[in-house]
Amino acid sequence: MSIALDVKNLSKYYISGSKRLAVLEDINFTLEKEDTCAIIGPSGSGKTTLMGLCAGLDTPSSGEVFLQGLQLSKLTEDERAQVRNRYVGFVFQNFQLIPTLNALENVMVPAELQAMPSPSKLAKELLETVGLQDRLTHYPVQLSGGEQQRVALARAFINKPSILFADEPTGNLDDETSHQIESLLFDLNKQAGTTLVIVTHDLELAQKTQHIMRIKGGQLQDRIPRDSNDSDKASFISDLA
Amino acid sequence: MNLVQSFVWSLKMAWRDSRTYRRKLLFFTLAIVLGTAALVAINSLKENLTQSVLRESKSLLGADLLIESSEPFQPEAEQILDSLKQAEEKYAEEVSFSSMVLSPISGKTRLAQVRALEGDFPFYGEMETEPAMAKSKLSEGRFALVDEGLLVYFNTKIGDSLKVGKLSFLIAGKLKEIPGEAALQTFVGPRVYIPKSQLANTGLIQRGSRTKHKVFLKLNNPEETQAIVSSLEPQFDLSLTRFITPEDRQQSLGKAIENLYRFLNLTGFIALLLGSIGIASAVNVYVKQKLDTIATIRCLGTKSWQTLVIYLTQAMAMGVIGTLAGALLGIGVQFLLPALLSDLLPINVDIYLSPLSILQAVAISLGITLNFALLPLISVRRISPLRALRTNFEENAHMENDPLRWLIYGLIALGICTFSVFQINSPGLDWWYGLIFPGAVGVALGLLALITLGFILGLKRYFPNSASYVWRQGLSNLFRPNNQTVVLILTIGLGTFFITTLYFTQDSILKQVNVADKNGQPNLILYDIQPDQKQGVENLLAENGLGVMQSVPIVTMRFAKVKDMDVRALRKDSTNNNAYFWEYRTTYRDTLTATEKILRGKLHQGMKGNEAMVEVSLATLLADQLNLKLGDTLTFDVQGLLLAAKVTSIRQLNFSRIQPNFSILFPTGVLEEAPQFYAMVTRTKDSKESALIQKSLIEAFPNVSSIDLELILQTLDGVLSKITLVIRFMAGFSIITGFIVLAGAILTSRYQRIRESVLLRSLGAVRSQVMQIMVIEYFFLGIISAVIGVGLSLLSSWALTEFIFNSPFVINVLPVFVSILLVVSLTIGIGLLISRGAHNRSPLEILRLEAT
Repeated sequence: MSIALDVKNLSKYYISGSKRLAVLEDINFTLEKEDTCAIIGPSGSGKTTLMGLCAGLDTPSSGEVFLQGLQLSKLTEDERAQVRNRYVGFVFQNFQLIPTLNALENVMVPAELQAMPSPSKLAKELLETVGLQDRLTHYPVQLSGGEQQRVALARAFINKPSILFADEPTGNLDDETSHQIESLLFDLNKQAGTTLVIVTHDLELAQKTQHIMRIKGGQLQDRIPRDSNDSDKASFISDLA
Repeated sequence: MNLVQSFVWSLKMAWRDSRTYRRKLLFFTLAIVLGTAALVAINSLKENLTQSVLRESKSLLGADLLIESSEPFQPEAEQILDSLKQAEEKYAEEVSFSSMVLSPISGKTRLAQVRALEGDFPFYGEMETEPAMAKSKLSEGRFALVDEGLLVYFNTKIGDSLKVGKLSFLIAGKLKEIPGEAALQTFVGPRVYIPKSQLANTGLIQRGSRTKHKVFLKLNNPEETQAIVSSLEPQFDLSLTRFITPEDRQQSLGKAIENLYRFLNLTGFIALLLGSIGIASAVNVYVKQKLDTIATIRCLGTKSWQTLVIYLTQAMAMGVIGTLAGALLGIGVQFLLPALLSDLLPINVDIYLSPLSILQAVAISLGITLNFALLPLISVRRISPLRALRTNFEENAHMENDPLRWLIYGLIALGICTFSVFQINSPGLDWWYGLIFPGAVGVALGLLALITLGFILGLKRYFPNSASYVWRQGLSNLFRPNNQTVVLILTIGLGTFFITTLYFTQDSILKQVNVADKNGQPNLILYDIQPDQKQGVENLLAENGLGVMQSVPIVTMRFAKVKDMDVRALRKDSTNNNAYFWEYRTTYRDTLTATEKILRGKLHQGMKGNEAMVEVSLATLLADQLNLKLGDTLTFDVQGLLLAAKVTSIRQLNFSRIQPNFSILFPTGVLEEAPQFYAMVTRTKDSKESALIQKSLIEAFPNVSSIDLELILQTLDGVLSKITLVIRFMAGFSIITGFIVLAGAILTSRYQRIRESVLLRSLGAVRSQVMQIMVIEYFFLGIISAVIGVGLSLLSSWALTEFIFNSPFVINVLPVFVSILLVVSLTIGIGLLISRGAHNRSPLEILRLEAT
């Protein structure tokens, strides 16, 4: 199996006055292609910062992130944008749809940026897959939360990403909608063979991934390896709970 | 995706992303519409004026050559002129002077500009009269052509009589237009044409009378004009005689047009600057509202330059639409301006579209607007995609250090300075004079910004915590994020500053003259009193119960040499100051009057006859004009006799009182034997008494002229009103732009206001409370802008009246309060109009509507 994400000695500090505030400290892990992984931990533990660094949205204070073998720290912000466009998909807690674009246009953006042929056709197919074939010309404000997240899922997969980062993908949804979105996320992920990284508080969602990493105080506390069985994961989760 | 594809996608995205904001964006474009319109209109008008001057160059003078002398031509000169008259195609002669004229019907008198004309002048262009053929009557006998304004003043009509000196003339027609002369002239001295053959019989030409003698020629070969002038010049006394060709008139009018254009263009430019500040402010808020979208598309792989292209395209579209709309409006205004300026212009302007002028103005407008819009836009390059994950992410920490930002600041400053230096560029003026305008605007803007920031800081520090809730909420809205309080106060304040400066200055000058009517000061001045008439005039005044408050001898003279420079030689260079060539009316005394003050040197103390040089005192205005200092030597030509003198003092004069003022003051013991006449000042009880005494004077002493306070007030008011009408029209562009920016800013924060209002109402606030909060906020925006704007304008009006018009500044309290009240009312009115609906609709309905 090839390595999709390799994180080495990753740290992130912020300077606040004369103090150095460590948000992440010496994080190391590797994810192989098609791995699914959940990053869990309490609020302020550094989960989102870790995800931002892994996705090339931010630069580390020290350490390295290799995404699809590319050393992100060696790239400029615009080069990282290109990497994101080519290899990365995003799903956000608050959906982050562009309010001035309709559902179809929102989904098309990454494909258009990559100059993929027939972005509109691809987007329509994906929206059909997520069950929104009748909502193509609706604007985000005209869609429910669940529908918006489904548009976001379609957008995340249109560029056929190697790795998908999902930040609390069900955090703003009710239970029933959450379950629908989770199913869609894992189904689409499986079909596309994408590596999946989910940042979540939802332990039930985390349990559906192969790896679970727990972050606390900016440090990687525990980790359930990929080959753990469901009962190991359940006991890891119940310990946390 | 290659570069072209990336660019095309960015343009497509710019179009898509502007959805739902397009109406708002269009509204913001209004901010630059007026500024652009002003520039387009003025640029086009200048082009039209220049072309009209070129086209009408001959009718500006009415002849191919004008030979003008401030004294009757000497016999030798007359001989040369006679041979010219015979040799060339046509000639006309005119003697002009100021004199009182009387309407026997109404009994009113008025100082007028009498022109005794002989010949078929003008040879080019038409003297427009009513009835049309009235001019031909001048050759038939005692007929007069009279300015329309004078007929109205006298309440007389065509066919009535008019007394000029000892003669009565029948009014044959009214003057509508004279080629090459502005209608404004009638305010200063209404024109009366009489036949030259009747001049001697009027008895008005006496020794010392200030007359102008003109010979107009239509040449056989107009192309040889310059050669004829060159051959004539050596034969005439050039200290008295001028040769004026259509090209000279065209040149001097060109200069006047250039000055008018510069001034109007600067006022238009101010409106554009205000609008651009408004645009920058609107774009700033717009970008802040778009932060999440920008972060999201950055996450999805958009490069930083692409995000800049997306929002720059939107700003450019705003700029282009605003500028084009401005250009269209400007073309409309271009057709209005000549009507506004008609009384100031000596020619009829043909209005037509000038693509180059329009293009020039559009380019300036677009350039300035885009630079201002770029200031907030460049920050989109540095918006972190991380914001999509953390909505509270702060990325502005390093924005101020962005070198591109400083580059744009530099470009804006350079653009404004270049524009201004280009505008002021004139031979004889150093280039840095052009920096005075941006400097002054910068100081005004800086002061406004400083005072506003000071107020906001003070408000935060000494916040009235014990005030009622609505007051606290209304006041704290002033420092709400994105509220643009400073920009609003800058634009409205600056607009108020310009408009009220003009008003207060005009008002102060008029009020100062009015004040002169009080405290027993003189209000009637009589001049051109010959020595043999002095006693008679004193007696006439005494018979009417009036005392002579001041009787001043006047001696006329010219400069022969100024600091060893021969004035005749100076005449050859047309760029030399005309003050070298004027005829001066001087007096002699060893004391100062109440309105004079010595600024430098010491006032002379009578000459005893043994001094090497006569000591003279100069008025500051003359000393400044001719760059004369203490100790400089002057040689005067006192009616043929040369008199050497030395400047020993410089005086400041106050022109606000009705009394004769003198640029040149001699000591006693020098001019007593020189030919002289007198001026007297007296005080009449009221305008009726003034009119009666003037009527008696003109009947007894037709050559004596008089001018009273009421006439000065009327003249000043007439001239100032005409000039300030144009200035106010242009300044109006600035203030309307200010209110558009205000409306735009309120529109920008409308959603925020509505949400606040909804929240307040959900928490139990009633509609009237929400309304009161808004009124309080707008009230403070208005009152701060108005008070600072009016305060600064009082300062600038004071400086203008004190230093430019040499008159003490008088504040009229009522207009100050009315201006403030007007600005506050307009601010509240516009604020409530734009926010309408925010306080009285259902919270849910509004949230849904705004969200879409």
